[in-house]
Amino acid sequence: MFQHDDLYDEDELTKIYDREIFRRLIGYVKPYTGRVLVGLVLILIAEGARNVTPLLARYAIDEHINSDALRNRDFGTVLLALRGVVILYTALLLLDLLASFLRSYMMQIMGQHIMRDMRVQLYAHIHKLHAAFFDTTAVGRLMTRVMNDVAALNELFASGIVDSIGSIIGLVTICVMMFVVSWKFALVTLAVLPIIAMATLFYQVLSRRAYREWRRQLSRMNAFMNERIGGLTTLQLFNQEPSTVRRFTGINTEYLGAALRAVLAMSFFGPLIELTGGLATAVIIWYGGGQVIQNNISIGELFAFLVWGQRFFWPLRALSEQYNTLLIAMASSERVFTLFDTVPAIQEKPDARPIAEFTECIEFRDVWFAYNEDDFVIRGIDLTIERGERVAVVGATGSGKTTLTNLLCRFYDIQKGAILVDGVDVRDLRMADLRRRIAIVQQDVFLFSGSVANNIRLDSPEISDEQVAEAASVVQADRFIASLPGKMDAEVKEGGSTFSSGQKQLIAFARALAFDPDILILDEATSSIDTETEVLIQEGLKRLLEGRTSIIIAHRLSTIQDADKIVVMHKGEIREVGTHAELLRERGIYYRLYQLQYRGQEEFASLGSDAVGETS
Amino acid sequence: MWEGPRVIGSLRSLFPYIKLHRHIILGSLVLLAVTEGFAFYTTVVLRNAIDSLRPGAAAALSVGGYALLLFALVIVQGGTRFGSRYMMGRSSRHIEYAVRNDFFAHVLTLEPAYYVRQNTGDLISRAINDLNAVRQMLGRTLMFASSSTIRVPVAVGFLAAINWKLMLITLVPFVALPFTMQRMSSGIHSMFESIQEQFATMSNRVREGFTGVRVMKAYTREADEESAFLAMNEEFIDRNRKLIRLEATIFPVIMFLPGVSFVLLLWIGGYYVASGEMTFGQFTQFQMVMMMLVMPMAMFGFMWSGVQRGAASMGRLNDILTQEPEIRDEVEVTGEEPAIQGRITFANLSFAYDDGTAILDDLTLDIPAGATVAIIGPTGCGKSTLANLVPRLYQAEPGMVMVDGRDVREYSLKHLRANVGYVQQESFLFSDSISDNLRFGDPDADDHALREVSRVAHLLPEIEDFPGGFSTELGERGMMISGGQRQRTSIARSLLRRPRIVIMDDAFASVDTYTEETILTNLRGYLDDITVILISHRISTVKGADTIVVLDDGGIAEQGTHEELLASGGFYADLYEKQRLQEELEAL
Repeated sequence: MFQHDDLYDEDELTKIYDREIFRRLIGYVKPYTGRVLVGLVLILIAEGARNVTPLLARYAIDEHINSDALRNRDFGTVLLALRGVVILYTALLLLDLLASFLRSYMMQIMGQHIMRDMRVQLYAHIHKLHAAFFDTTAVGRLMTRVMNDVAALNELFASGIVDSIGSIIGLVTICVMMFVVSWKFALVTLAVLPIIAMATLFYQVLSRRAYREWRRQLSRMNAFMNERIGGLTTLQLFNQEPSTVRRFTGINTEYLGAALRAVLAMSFFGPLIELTGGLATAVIIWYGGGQVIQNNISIGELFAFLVWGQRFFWPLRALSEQYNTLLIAMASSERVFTLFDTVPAIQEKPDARPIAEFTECIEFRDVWFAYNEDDFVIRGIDLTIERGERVAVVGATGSGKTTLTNLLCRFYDIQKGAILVDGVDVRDLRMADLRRRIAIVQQDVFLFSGSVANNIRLDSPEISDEQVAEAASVVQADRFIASLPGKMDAEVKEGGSTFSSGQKQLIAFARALAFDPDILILDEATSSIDTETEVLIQEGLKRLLEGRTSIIIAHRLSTIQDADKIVVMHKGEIREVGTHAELLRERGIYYRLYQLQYRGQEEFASLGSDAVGETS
Repeated sequence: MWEGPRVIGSLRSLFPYIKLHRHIILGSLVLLAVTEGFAFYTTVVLRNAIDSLRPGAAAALSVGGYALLLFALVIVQGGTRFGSRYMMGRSSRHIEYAVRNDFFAHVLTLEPAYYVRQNTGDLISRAINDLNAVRQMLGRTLMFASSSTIRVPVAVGFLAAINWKLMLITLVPFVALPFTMQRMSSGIHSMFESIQEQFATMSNRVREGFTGVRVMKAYTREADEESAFLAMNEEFIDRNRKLIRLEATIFPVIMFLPGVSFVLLLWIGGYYVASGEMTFGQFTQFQMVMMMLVMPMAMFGFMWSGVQRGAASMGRLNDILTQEPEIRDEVEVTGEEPAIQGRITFANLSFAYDDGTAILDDLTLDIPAGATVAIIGPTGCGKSTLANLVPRLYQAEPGMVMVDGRDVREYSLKHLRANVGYVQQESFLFSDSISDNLRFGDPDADDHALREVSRVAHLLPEIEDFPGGFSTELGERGMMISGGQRQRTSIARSLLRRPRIVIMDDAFASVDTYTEETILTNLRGYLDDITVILISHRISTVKGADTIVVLDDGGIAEQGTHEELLASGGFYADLYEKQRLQEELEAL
């Protein structure tokens, strides 16, 4: 699956062009334009100060050191003569120091801020994606995008963009200085530039591919580790540690191969740039030397050119590293942007209507729905649920009961018909408002790491400790919570792995109650609780349902019988609707269902209360 | 604060890996030395070239000749530097590769109690990010440390040869450089550690945020989750701030101090040139050699912070690597281990989890080989814990859990687990094909065996209906098939190994009672003399068992056959009535 996914990624990647990516990356810098401008001014100051110093050296050499004026004068006289140059030179060094520090600090902090912006936006964006997206996308992959890929972008923002402009400024100032001193000499020196340009081009082709492959392999390895560490117990039970290590070694080896190709590419450019720097020195000696002999330029000017020539490849070298940074950033940002570009299949309309309270009714009007095209799992459902009604939905597995509730919450959009809440189509409602009115308790309860209390209130600041405790006690979760070390503050491990399914279920009930929904959906909520525990929560459940509109899926008969309306589903259709009594009179599917159970009904109820007495 | 000992302590575990690649590393270092040699020779050529420009100077070569020689030198130098870098980069990648393999292999040996405590996101973050930091350290450190070691003394020698007094004066700022760097970089280690820690915390938050996305959506927690994540990011920035301030200081200082050296050269060296004690060519060479010192000195700062980062990360890897698995082979296995018959004895078994939660209390139960025993009881009564103790996923005190009358600790884990087919409550399937998943415990099993266990688990017709048959991909955690199919796949997977003991922990929860009965009947036909423990809260699962044990509050509340327990009219009899009704309902 991962391999397939990666191929898909590659296809996706080719669709976005580099310039487009770069433009979008720059978009993240926009809010910090002011800082960037200050950074640029600082870098201009630093580069200017740095590159004007060879002129000072030239002056010192030609006017003093190498001049006849100071020939064979005493130590003090020479020092005194050079005093002005020395002071000015030191001042420029200090200016460079200060400006460089400030720029670096500001830009690094900015990088952190941009990374934060990006992470939070991406995280929020992914949460907006439709439920179906998560059915098919590996969590490890998404985590890599939000954390590692964004981290790979940091250097680009923190130093890459501004510093590469700085490098260019550095190159330009060096060129300007060279031309000021001798334009012919400058032109000859700069003749090495085309060679550097070609080397860069060569490098780009080579490293681009290597980097992308490297990131891809990293992501694959990450996903594998994520999965295997997640299934560690299974691995151990089946004695598969050795085979898993072998397989991991295989993946790691492929990663190594990709990494080595990246290393090869990287090892190329540094020496290449140095080589061109050396080439420049050779040219300066060849041409400049001749000019000095012919007295066309001074020895100080030759010296200044040599220094510039050496410095010329600092910014070039920096640019090559910044280019590297950019490549890494491109590879990562392509992945990040691909994710950003995944449009939520379910979106709120711009003029979506708020809903403060559920007051009237839920209405399904000729609803048709298919997860996969034309494979309809809901076929023409018509159903009205009045406020305060308790509706039970019964039917075999796969009859579409859960789908119905998913549609009500708008986790998926229907193909035909309409679902109305208080007369408004759910597609016209604010999604958050709609969902806030509803609470679902599912069979598989997901617990977050944190405390028990946090799992009940789900970090909502609006739910007080008292409300949490109250909710827990109403659903009778307080008994087992009290037995935990730390009680409400007891630590919940990742996935709630230290809790039994029944305990998780109780926490989920408390959670639902704490959010005080108008509409409560219990989706096979009690099927993983043993009968004993269920009897225990019957009372709590009753209170949970009180005064609320509820949809109860395949719940046990005692609750179903009390329901105001029982909906019998079969193969995506509603076959019977009515109250218990009505359905009995109809003598249809429900009647048969009831007949089968009728005998034990009273017995069940009494047994239930017995059991409560026994255990409490 | 000098963190040397701490850093070295963290890095000690890397030495064996480095040793394995010493030949290539050595080769890289030799090439590096050659490169450095060429670089110094270049300054000599340059000095001669400049001195040849003096009017009336007697030169060995023409200006063009010097230029050509310089050009030849840089070309050779480029080649050797490339070779040196590539070889070093290669070794560091190879070391990273080996450490990651070992790390992963070690993680696999740790028992559930450990990795429940240490969550998986953190483990993965260590394997990827921390190892990355270690690798960068290896690449940089070895490269820069070696180039510094060669360059610094040679350069000082050159400078002294030109003019030792000038050397002493101009190198004062250079000497200050490493000291300044060290003072600035103290504490980087702990800053970096705290940053990594926050990164791991955020990673976990993100992963859970996605794993629990349904809950997030259902309770519209997205907005608050976003602000919680934002707060974590702010904290991350705060933790980075100090480090950034430090790092922002380092480079400008590295630029500044050599600048001061050059001013001194201009000033004092100017006097020597003017007085004729030094040629201008020597002055230029002096400056060139001094420039060559900047990089190693500059890198010294980076190197040290890189080493500290690497050491911090290596420390985090060591935390895991040195974690001895608590559950491991306790006996030296010589030759064949005794074949396991399947008798299981729990003797006065008491068990509590690490956090102090007592689960089982003085439980005694003897399950004869070949028997089918069912365990039933309310949520949290310790059913799964009991099951976990048999294949030693958790372990009780010695003498409390025995198989064939021998303490489970006296078997090798491999032998014990090969004989215990434990189907867990939450089946974990891997993102491979269905046949890969079935063959999980026995990769060499033939197709016939695969079909056979699929038949036993009542899965064969469905697999044959899949378009891909046995090669159907199951997706992450087996999400491409239904819950019932997942459960049956994990049953079949366990049976393929023909274990002597089968433990089904709520293994039929997503399977209807008819299928469940078929599977249990098939199971007896497939492996007829094995011991079966059925853990369930469903009467249908347990009623056919030889003995049914009702567990409550960590002890045995009732025990007997289905008929006996029904007759006694206790908990079991109640449960039976309740569920009979419930099942009748659900069957419709």
